[in-house]
Amino acid sequence: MSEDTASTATILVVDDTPTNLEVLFDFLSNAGFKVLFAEDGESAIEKAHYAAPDLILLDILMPGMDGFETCRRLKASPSTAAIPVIFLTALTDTPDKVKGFALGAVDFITKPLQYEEVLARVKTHLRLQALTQQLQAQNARLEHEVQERTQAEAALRQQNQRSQLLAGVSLKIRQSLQISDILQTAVVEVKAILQADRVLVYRLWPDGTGSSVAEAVEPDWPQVMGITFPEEIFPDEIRWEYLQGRVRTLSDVKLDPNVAPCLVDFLRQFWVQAKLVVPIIAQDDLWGLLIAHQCSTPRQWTTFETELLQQLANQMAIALTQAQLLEQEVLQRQELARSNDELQKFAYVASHDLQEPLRMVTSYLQLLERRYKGQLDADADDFIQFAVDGALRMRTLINDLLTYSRVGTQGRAFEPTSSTQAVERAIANLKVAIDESGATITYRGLPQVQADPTQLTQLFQNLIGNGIKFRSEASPHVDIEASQKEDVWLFSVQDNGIGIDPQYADQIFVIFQRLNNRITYPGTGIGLAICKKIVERHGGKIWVQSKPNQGSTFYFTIPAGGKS
Amino acid sequence: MVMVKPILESLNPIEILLVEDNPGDIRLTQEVLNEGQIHNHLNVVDDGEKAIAFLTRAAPYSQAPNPQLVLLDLNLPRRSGLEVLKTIKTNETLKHIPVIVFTSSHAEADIMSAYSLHANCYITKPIDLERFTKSIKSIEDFWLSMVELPSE
Repeated sequence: MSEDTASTATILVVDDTPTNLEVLFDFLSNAGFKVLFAEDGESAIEKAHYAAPDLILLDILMPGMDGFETCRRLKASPSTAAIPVIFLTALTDTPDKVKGFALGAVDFITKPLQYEEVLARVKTHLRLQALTQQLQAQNARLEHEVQERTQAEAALRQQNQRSQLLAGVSLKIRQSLQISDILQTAVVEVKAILQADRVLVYRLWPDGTGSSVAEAVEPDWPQVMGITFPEEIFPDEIRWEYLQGRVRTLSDVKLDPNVAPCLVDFLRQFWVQAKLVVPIIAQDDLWGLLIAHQCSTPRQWTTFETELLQQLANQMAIALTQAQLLEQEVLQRQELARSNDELQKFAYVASHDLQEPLRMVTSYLQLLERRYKGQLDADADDFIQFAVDGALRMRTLINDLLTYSRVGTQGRAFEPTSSTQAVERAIANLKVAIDESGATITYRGLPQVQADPTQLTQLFQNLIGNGIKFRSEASPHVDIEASQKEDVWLFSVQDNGIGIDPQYADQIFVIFQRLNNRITYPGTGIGLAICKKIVERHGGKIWVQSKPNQGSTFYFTIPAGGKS
Repeated sequence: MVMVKPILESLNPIEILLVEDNPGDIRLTQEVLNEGQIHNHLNVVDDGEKAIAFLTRAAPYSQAPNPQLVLLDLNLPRRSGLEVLKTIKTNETLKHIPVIVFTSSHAEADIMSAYSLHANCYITKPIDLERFTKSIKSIEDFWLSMVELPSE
């Protein structure tokens, strides 16, 4: 407080001697103070109460209530206790001063009054009083701050607790990939956290009806599960509100006038006294509601509980969306596997059953040829020849198709297989072609792999066979090697044949794709498709590097630890 | 070279029962057998039930001869070839008759089942005529010439 404000302070002067009062009044007024006066203790207390002076000058010796008693009463009353009291006294005895200080006085001024002394002491105490008030205000402010911080800490603790609960439940929910597990986990956990009597997930079906799809309920209360609720229970406007993310709380069904009568009936049926409802919005659609019921008593839901439930509903929505996507994917994969399986069986049955009529065509054409060759005219002999050729080519095609479809349907389990032995078996099977063409086959350092031995042989046989079949002018040479690259074995089968234009490098693995004419290079165009299918069944890849007239190198991989 | 049995025996035709539902195969078997040297009589039934009736001389086969050799397809209407085989090989008066399974099935399971039921041999029908002929001729050479079959 500045000097100026100190001088506008209000001072209450209490003295039973009018002369003293008059002199002090004049003096203090001149000094710029606002001065009140009282002539006895009672009126002093009364004035101190209503005028709240900044300082009281109090005479000790007064008739009736003396200065000490007046002071005691002033200090006893909360509204006046803080006002500093200076005793005015002729007494100089130390015991009286001690008594005065003990009663809460701040100072003594001895009569006869020295006015400069009065002024100095008054100003000092007013300053002290102002400082004290400042300190008190600051204290109060500090206290308030401490209180605020404590509240913030409490809020933070609550927030933390919520985060932990949420994290725990979210984890449990997300660990379940089945929708039913997600829902069941959610209701059990929420019921435990909220200590609610019943928690349920209400599913809104596309036709507007709804039913409880998961429920955790105290044994004392009836189950909502298994009942389907009609569309009317859920009007459009409520649906719309929920879709906006609105939460509904009801702390006491009996006291809330806004509850629709039909809802009251419903709630009474299940003994619901209080409820908390949050929407579950998945993929922008109102999937359903997460509902907590209190059946034993009404219940005031806290912001903490409301927000917790809201956040849980969000987590559920995420988990549900994921689970729905997963279910769709699983269904699609199953469907794909099923149709694939069906197709393979179809190919197998078709090619198997095609053999029968084909055998008839071939056999009777040949019988015709055998019995009547030369007995008909030359054209007839040609026609029979074309028909026999066609039938024989079809036979090869069907056999290859059968082999192709068997890769998937008749494959054996993988076992440790020597690729050296597979290559040797392939060479033995190709003996005629190798001898006729004068081909040389070299191989070294081939590993043991996890494979179907028959299919591995078939794979080498087709690749080596191709190397011989698609030969150039030079005598055929096929070289087979293998090396380990990280977690796969990389095999290479290199030939010195006619090569392949790189633009066809992918096409050649497609079933029935042929690049060369039939007469020079007979074949059905299935060989490499079979290779690809075998390699893929073993978890590997196959590709080719080649240029026309520069030979081809076929590469394929087989996982070193077997197919994962 | 085909071995020829003494002329006296060939006057008495060998009774063969062919159990086959495909007319093409029936005719083809007949044709190829006729090209051969062995005097035989080919009896034909086209389903499993008829085969069993023929073998047990049930109506309308009460006058049927006792076959000395059975050529049996597996894929048959009504009673399967394997059922017919089982009937023959579990019947005291029939089980001595050699049964040649002659089918288009390459399935491991069929081959295994046929031998388990005491088929005498299992031949898959070749697709082209040359091999088919060779199979029938081999049957002739071995079963109708080389081996001694029990008489009726």
